[in-house]
Amino acid sequence: MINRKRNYTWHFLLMAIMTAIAIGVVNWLSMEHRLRLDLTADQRFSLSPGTKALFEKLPESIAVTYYVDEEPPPKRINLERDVRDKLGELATSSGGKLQFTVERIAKSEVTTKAKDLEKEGITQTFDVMTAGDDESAQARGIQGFFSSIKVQYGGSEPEVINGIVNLVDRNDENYEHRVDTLEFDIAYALLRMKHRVTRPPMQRLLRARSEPLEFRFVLSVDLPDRNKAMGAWVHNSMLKIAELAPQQARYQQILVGPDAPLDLPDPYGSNRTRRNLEVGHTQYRLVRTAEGIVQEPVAALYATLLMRVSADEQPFVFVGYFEQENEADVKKSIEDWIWESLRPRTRLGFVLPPTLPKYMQHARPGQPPINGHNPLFRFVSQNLGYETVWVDIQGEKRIPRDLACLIVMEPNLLSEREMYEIDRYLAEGGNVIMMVQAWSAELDFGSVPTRGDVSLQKLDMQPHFEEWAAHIGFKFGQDLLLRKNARLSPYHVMRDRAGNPTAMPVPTKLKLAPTIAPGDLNGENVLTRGLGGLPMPLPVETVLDESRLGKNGVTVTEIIRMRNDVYRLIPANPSFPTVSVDLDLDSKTSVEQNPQAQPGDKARAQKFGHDPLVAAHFKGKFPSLWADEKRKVPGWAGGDPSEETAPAISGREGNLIVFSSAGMLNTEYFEGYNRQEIQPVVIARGITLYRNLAENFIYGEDLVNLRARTGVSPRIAGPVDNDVKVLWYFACIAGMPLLLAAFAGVRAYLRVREREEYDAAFSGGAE
Amino acid sequence: MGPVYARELRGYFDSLMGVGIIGAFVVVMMLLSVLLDPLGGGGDWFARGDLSMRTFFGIFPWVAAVVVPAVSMRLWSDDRRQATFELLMTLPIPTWRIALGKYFAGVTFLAAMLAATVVYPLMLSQFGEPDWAPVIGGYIACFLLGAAFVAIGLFVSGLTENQALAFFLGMLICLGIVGLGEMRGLLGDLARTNPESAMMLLVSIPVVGLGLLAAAVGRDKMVGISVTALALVGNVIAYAWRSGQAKPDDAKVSAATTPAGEAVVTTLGQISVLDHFGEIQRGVLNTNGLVFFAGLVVLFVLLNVWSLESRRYS
Repeated sequence: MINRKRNYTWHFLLMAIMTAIAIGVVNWLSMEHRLRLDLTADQRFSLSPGTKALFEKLPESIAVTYYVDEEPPPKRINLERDVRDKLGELATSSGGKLQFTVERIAKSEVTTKAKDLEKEGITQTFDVMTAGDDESAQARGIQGFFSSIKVQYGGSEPEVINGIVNLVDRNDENYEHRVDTLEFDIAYALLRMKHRVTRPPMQRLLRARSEPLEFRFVLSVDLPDRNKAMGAWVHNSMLKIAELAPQQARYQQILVGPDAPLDLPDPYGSNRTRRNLEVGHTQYRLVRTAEGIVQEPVAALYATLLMRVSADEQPFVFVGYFEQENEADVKKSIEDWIWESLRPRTRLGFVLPPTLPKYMQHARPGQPPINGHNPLFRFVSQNLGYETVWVDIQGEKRIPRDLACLIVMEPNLLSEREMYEIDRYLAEGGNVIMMVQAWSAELDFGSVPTRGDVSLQKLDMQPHFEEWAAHIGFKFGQDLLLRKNARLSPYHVMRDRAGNPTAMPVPTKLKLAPTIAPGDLNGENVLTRGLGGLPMPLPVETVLDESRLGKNGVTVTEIIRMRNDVYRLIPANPSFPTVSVDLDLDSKTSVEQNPQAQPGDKARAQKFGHDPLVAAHFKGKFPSLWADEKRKVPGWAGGDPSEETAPAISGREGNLIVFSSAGMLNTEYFEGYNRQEIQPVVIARGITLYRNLAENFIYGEDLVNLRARTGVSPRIAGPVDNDVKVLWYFACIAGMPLLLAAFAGVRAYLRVREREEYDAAFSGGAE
Repeated sequence: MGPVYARELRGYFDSLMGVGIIGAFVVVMMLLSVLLDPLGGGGDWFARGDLSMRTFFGIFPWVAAVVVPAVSMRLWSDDRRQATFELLMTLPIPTWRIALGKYFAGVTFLAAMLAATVVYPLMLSQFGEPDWAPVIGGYIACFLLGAAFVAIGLFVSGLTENQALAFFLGMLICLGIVGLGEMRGLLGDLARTNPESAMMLLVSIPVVGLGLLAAAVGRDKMVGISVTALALVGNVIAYAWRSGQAKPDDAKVSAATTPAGEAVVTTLGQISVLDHFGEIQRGVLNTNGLVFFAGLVVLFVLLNVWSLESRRYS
C-alpha cells in the first residue's frame, strides 16, 4: 500500500530544499553582479567625483590597513564593525582599487606593540567622557584606544590617520576623523602623497644650487670621550657630502680649544658673535665651598654643524645627531636635515596687528610684532612644514606675490594704503584670509578677586575697510553675539608659593566666546574639518549683500553659521559698554526672548532673529574699490594721497575667506583657561584652522572637490518654540491613533445603524 | 484571488483588531523614535536636531518582528478555527491563488500601517530641507522587510490553528532573522578564529529553527527534537575540536583568514537582513538587497502553498 501522507511530506521537503537552493543561487548571482543605485541628493554613499578623479589618476592599487583595539571603550563597541563596513563600501565603490585589511591589537599586547606602532606614526586616541557641553562639564574619565588607518600607495611613504571614531552621539561630530569622513580622509592622504615632492639624490640636490651652501662644523678639541666618536662621524660625513658637489657645498671644520668663550666669534667671519652654539655640556656647575654652594663656570664645549644658504639669511643649526650610533646613521641624518632645510615649502604670509603695550620692551625692529597671535604664528612656522612670512606692508611697501595665501589679522585696523595693497593683491587673483575683530574685552581682573563687570571695547572699523567690504558685497554687524553654549570668562591672576602665576576664572554666568558646535559648521566644506569645539571670542555677524555679490560675480560658501539660541548684547551705555558677569541668558527680566519685540530699558540682551553667519568663503574675480571708483592712490603712513589715480586691474579669480572673530586664533583671550584645556582645545583647533586654510590653497581644486563628509543628515534650521514642539509630538504620537479611533467609531455607528435598519426592516417584513 | 484578497482585507477592519494594531504600532514607533531614541544617545527628536528618520527605521525591524506576526497570525489560523479552511480547500481554485490573496491582504495592511506614520516625514519637511532619498529608501526597506515577515507569518499561520502559537512562532522566527544580523559581528569574529565552528553554527541555525518548528507544530514531535539536539551536539563538537588546536596570532587577524572563514563572513553578509535593510534604508537601492527580500517572500509563500497542499491531499 502506498503511504500518500509520507509521499506528500517528502515532496514538500524536496521542493523546499530545491527552492532554497535555487533562491540561494539567485542571491549569490545578485551578489556577484549587483547593480547599485544611490538615490541620495548628493550621491552620499558613492565615491564622490573628486575621489573618483583622484583614484583614476593613481594607476596602482591602494592598500589600507586599519589598526583597532580589540577592546575599545564600551561606547565604541561597534567601532570596528562600522569602520570595516565603511572600508568595505569604499573598496566596492572603488572597483577593487582600494583593498583593506584589519589588524586587531589585543589588550595584552598593547604595551609591547605600542612602541612598534609609534615608529609607524600610529598612536592611541582618547575618549574624554564628559557630561554637558560647556566648561562646567566634569571629566568623568579618559580611555585610550587604537583606531588608526595606514594608507599605502605604490612606493610612497605611508600616511597615517589616527583617532578614527564612529558617530555614537552628537559630541562625536567634534572629532576630525570619523567613519563618515573616511572617504575624505583616505582620499586626502592620497592627495598629500601625490603632491609630496620626491627627494632627489643628494648630489643632484646640491648641484642644483645656484648659490653655494656654506657648512661650518665648530668642534671642541677636548670633547669628552663619549662624544669624540660622534665629532669624527659628523666631520667624515660632511667631507663625503661636500665631495659630491665641491662647488656648491663648501665645508669647513673650526676647531676650538678648551678656553673657547661662550660668545663665539661668528664662524662665517662677520663681526657678530654667536651664543649658544655649544652642545652637550653644562655651562655652570654647582660647587660646595666654605662659603656655601657657588656656581663655577665650565669650559664651553662645541660640536655644532651650521649651514648657511645665503649671506642674507641666518644659518640652519643641526641638532639631531645624539641618537645616532654609527657614522652611516649620522650621514643619513645630516642629509635628511639638508633636505628638510632646502626642500620647497609653501609660503604663507601673515599681516599681524601691532605689538601690545605690555610686550613693547621685548619688541625688536625687523621682527614680527608681539601679541596674542604670535604663539600660533610661531607654531605654524616651526611645526606645520610651511614657510611663514611676516608681511610688513607698511615697512616693505608691498605684498610678496609668491604667497600661497595672505592671512590678515584684524584688517579693520589697517591704514587705507595697506587696504589698497590688499585690494590689489586680491583683485590680481591672490588668496586672502581676513580675521576681523570688532570687539575686544579686558578679561584680566588683576590679582584681586572681584565680581565686577567686564569692560568691552568696540574696535574701530576703518571707513575705508567698510567701504572696501561693501564694494565686494558684505559688511559686519554691530551686535556682539552671545550664546549659552559658550566659554571664556574673566579671570584674576593668583600666584603660588613659587611665584608662578595661575589664572583663576571668575565665576560668571555669561561667557563671551560661543563654542563652535558641530551644527554650526558647514560639514561639506573642507575648511571646517576639526573645528568643532573651538571658542570664538566676541563674534559679530557677517552680513551678505547678495545683489552686490551677484553683480560682481562673486560666489559665497558658508563656513560657520551660529545656530540655535543666539543673543545680541544690549549695552546699558553704548559708549562705555560693559557686560554684567551675572547676565543670565535664561533671565526673563534682563533678556528679551522675543527677537521682534522692542527691548525694555532693563534688557541687556535680546534673542537674535536669525542664525548669523560668522565665516564665509568668497570666490571669483574681485572688484578693486580704488580702481573701480578711480580714486587716488592713498599715501603711506597717513601721508597725502598720490596724485595718480589707482590703475585699472585686469582681474583674475581669487579667494577671500572672512572670519568675524579673530580672537579664535589669539591666545591672549585664553590666558584664563584651565591649562589642560589650552593645548587640546585652543591651540590644537587653532592650528587645525590654520592648516585647513593653508591646505585649501596648497591643494586647490583637488582638495576642494573631495567630499568632506558623508552620512550626516541635515539639521533643523533655527530654534523651535516649546509650544510648537509639543504640538508636533502630540501630532506624531496621538494624531493618527485619534483619527483611527474616530474612523472606528464612525464605522461602528454606521454598522449599528445598518443593523437597526436591517432589524427594523426584518421585523417590519415579519409583521 | 481577488475575492480572497477583499475578504481578508475586510476581515482586518471589520473588527477593532486592525485599527488597534495600527494605532498601537504608531504609538510605539513614535514614542520610541521621536521621544526616547533607545538606539542613539537618548533624547527627543528636537534635541537631536537631525532632519532624518534614522531612529524610526533603526527600530522598525525589531518592532515589525513583533507586530507583523500579529497581523499575519490570523491569515490561515482564523479559517482553521472557524472551519472555513476546508471550504477554501475544496474550492475549485489552486491553493497558490488563495495563498497569494491572503498574502497580498497582509501586505496591504502592512502598507496601511506604514502610511499611518506619515506625520513623521511631514514634521521633517516642516523644520528644514531633509534629504528625501533616505526617507523614501527607509519606507521601501520597511515595506520589503515587512512583506518578508508577512510571508513568514503566512507560512506559520498555515501550520497551526492556534493563533497564539502562530503569533509566537512567527515572532520567534522574525526576531531570529533580525537577531542574526545583529550577531553578524560576533559570528564574523568566530569565523576568523574558528571558521569550522562558525560554519557549523551558521548551518545549524536554520536546522535548529526548523527542528523547533517541527517540534512545535509537527505530528511527530520526536523528529523535530532529534534534529534540534543533533544540530546542537554538532556545534559543541565543532567548537571543541577547533579550540583544542593551536590558536593563531591574535594580534594580527585579517578580514578573513581562511577560505572557510571567508565563506562564512560572505554568507553572513548576504543573509543579514539588517545589512540589506540598512543599505536600502539610507537611500541606496541595490539588486542584491531587492533579490534577497524577494527571495524570502517567494520561499515562504511557496513553503506555505506546499505545506497546505501536503495537508490538502494527505
